Amino acid sequence: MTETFAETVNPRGVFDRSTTGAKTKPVSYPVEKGRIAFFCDVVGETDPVYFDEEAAKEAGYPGIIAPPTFPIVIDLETTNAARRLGFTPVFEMVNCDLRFLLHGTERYEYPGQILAGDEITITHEVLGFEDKKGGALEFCHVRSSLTHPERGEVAAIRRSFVHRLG
Amino acid sequence: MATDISTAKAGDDLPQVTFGPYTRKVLALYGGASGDHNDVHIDTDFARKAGLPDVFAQGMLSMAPYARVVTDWAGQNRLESIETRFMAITPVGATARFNGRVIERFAEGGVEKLRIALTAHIDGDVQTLGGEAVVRVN
Repeated sequence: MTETFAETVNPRGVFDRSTTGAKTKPVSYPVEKGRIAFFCDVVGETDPVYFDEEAAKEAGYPGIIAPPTFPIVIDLETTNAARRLGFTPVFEMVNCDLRFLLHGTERYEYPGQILAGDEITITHEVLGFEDKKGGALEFCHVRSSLTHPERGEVAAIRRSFVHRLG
Repeated sequence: MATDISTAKAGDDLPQVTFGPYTRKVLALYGGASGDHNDVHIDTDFARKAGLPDVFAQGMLSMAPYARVVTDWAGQNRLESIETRFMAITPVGATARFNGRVIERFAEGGVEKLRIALTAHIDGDVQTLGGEAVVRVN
């Protein structure tokens, strides 16, 4: 990622700004078709490309695909796994404070597809920090890369954590 | 109404997607399906102790039908990126509607693309999500 943010100082800031450029330890997640089907049932997704192998192939996919927001499952379940494994999740690494935290933005990019049966590895990178409204809001920008061992990066999540300090 | 992606142009509306009601059951199941075990979405006792009136929906739960506006119309293999800002919380019992409109047809690296503006609104016309998606035409 070439994007950089100017180094900023905010006396009220809570994020640990020394973590710019830091990456989490990679954690892998097996994408199971049963989990995709459960996820689809809950969010009201009825397109058979997400649960019927033949329908997926007819639509031109190699097999059952994961729906567009399924990367959040990989993100959250690997975060749960990271805790079990004793790794530090990215929001703890940057010192997110739930007392101030707002859900800012989510951006998903799809250089490939996530397929049922894939083993996907996720790595989070801290891109940098920003202040807005005279330091009343501080932003932490993170990019999470989801990769397949042969097909490379199949999805990426860009997320901004926001602390409201004012 | 934009029915054909090959001729879609700025100003064309995509078919609306609706979702809801956001019951406690839906929030609890989404907690399990997504791996988001945050108490404020699934445990009313916890929410009230934290000074909230009740549990409220996970933002990412709404991003699923928000994305479906695009994938139902264009197919997931055309979806290049999708983003949202979270503008307001979705309370228990709400229903939501999701809308998309083509705002730009452009070419990038020899590939024809559409930029689509996306919104989510709950009852009372409160906007909960807003942002854009980019799809490849061919």
